[in-house]
Amino acid sequence: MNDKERLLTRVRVAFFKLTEASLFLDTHPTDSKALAYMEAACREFEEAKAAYAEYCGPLTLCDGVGKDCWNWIAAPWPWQMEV
Amino acid sequence: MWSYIKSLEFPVKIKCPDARAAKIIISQYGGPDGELGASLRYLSQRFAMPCPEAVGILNDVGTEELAHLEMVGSIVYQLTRNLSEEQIKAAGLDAYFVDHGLGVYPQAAAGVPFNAMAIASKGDPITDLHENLAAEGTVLYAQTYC
Repeated sequence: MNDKERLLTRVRVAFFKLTEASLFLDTHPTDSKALAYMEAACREFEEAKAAYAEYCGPLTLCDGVGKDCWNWIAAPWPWQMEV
Repeated sequence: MWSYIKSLEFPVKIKCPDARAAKIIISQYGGPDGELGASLRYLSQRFAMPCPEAVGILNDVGTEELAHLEMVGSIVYQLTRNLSEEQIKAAGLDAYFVDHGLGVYPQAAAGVPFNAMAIASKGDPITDLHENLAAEGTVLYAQTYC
C-alpha cells in the first residue's frame, strides 16, 4: 500500500464510521456514547480528508480551490483502477 | 441535495476481467433487487414518513445506497474492461453488447431494463416499511448467486 492509498484508506475508514454512527443516531438521537463516537469520527474524517487533499487531490469540490488549474476533473476517478 | 465525494465507499480493484461474472452482477446494479431500486425506494418513501427517526433513516440509508450503486457499477465496469470479441461471445455477453456495448446499463441479469415496478412507495408508512423488510431480505440471494 503506497502513501496515497494509506491516506485514502484513512478517509474511507473515518467516513464508514461516521456513516454507520449517523444511521444509529437517526433512531437513537440522545445516545451519549454514539454522539461522542460520531463527533470523533467527523473530526477524523475532516483531518484525513484535508491530508489526502493536500498530497493527492480533491475529494470534494472545495478541496480543489486556490490553484491555477481546476484539478477536480483530473483522473483518476474512483471507479478507475488507480484509486 | 447531494454533494460528491471523489472516492468509493470501499475500493474496487479487479485485475482479471470476467464477462460471465459481469452478466450476473449487473443485476445488483439495475435489477429488481439492485442498488438503483434500493436508493429510489428509500429516497421516494421518505417523503411520507410520519416521524423524524423514519424520515432520517430513509434519507440516510437511501443516500448510502447510491454509494453502493457506484461500487457495483465500478465492479461491472472493471469486469468488462478490454474484453475481446471472442471473450464477449464465449461468455454469452454478446446479447448485452449489441445493445449497450461495454457501457454500464441498469438492467436485470436476464436483460430486463431497470423497472420501478419492482419497488413500492405507497404513502403509508407501515406498508412501505414492510416492503423495505422484504427488499432487505433479498440480500441473501445476491450474496448467494453473485
